[in-house]
Amino acid sequence: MSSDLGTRAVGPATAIPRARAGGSGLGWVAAMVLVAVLLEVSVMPYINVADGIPDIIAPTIVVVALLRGSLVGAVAGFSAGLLLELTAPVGTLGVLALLYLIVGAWCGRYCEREESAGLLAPLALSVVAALCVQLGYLAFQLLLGHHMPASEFVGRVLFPTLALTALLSPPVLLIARRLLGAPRVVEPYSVIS
Amino acid sequence: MAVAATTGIARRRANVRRAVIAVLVVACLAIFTGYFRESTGGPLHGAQSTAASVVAPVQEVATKALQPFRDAWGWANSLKDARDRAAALEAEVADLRGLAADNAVRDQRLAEFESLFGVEALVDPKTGIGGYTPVTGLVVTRSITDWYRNVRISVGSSKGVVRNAPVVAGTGRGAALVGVVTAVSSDTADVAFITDGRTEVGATIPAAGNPPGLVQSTTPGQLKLTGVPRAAPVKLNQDVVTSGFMVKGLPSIYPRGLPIGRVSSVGSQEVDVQQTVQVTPYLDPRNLAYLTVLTPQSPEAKRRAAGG
Repeated sequence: MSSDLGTRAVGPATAIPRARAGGSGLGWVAAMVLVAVLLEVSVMPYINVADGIPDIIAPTIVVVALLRGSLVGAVAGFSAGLLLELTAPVGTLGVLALLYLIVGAWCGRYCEREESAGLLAPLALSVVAALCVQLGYLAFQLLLGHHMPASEFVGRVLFPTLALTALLSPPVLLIARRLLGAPRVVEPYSVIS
Repeated sequence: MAVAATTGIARRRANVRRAVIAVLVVACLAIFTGYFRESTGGPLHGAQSTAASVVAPVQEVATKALQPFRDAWGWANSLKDARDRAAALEAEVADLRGLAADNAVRDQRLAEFESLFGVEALVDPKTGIGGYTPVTGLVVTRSITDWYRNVRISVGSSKGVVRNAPVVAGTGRGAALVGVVTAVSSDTADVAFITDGRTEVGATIPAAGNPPGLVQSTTPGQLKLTGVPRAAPVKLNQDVVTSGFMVKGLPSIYPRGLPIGRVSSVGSQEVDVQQTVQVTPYLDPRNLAYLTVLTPQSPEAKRRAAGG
């Protein structure tokens, strides 16, 4: 019996992890979150259809959670949301962090299941995650007393955002899978090995 | 025994996972509660300002690097919309002919106001727009959500930009008000547009006898002028400008006479004591690459920006 106080993989969810056998890839996770936030605040506002702006954070958090579990997904979501609110000119702090945290924690539950063979499932999760973030932000804005006609929100913001997110998600998912390798639940703990 | 140990480890892992997630959720709630309760000079707003300064150079580089692609996208769109644009331009030419006649009346009225309220300095080409010096900045990033119609520009307190400074942009008829500076760091400034739901501008309609009103955003991108008495002779296409009026001893942060937009509809119910005036802003600032901040120089301008 021995104990290990470090961060380590307690998976694998698949039989043989293919990539990054030496580590859990948390460095790549941090880099992906940083790059995604930079792209979201610098590039994405210019790739707009109507008033919709692609949400590249959602697929990033979804794929991190799918490949590294709830805890890493939640921390990545929290960090990405907070960084986004610190660097983008939005009038909130902590709201997007909470929404992306929930997305990461929720999607991480699928990490221990058998990995999907195709892109459809993670792509669908990314779009659903973006939808949840948009609706969550809408609810928060309504609580603050800000209003937008439902038709305008759905037609000019929500649908374009989801469509653009769906278009941009596949490369994000593929790059992340390439960098992080097979799904492995990573959690801080002290356990018997 | 092995099964029991495995179960214990799994339970312990689950507890750790739940605890960390719970701590993060509580942190989020604490952060946004603190953020909305503190003043704009509080530590969380300060952290936001610092982060903005750190990221601004990267955003500026990305903005410039993407400019050719945006231009290409705009060119492709312009081809697609060429026919519509031609029709719109014809309508605009007709509109401008009417406005040319309006201008003569407005010039006369402007001369009166200049003598009364010092608007002469506002349009003095040497000193900028009346006690202000224009400082132009590149739009380095835009709001990532339609709920906030604001941008961040690449000039900050090091160039004399202060909070509450008016922000203008050029139109075919001269500069028009597009927003106000809401936060400043050394190298960046956040600008809330007048079409943002949180921005209110004291405004008036010179051609209707200067009734005092308040311009607010209705739906994003549209404005309404409230508080206009029913008796005021408001008509379509009249110009709406900032009033600069003092309310309860506090001066307006906007100098008098900055163009805002044009009356696009007027209406009222029989029981109303006020008119419902819809205003179309002169331009949609969301697509502009550069914005000009009017940095206050005169004591009057500085007093307006300071709010007292």
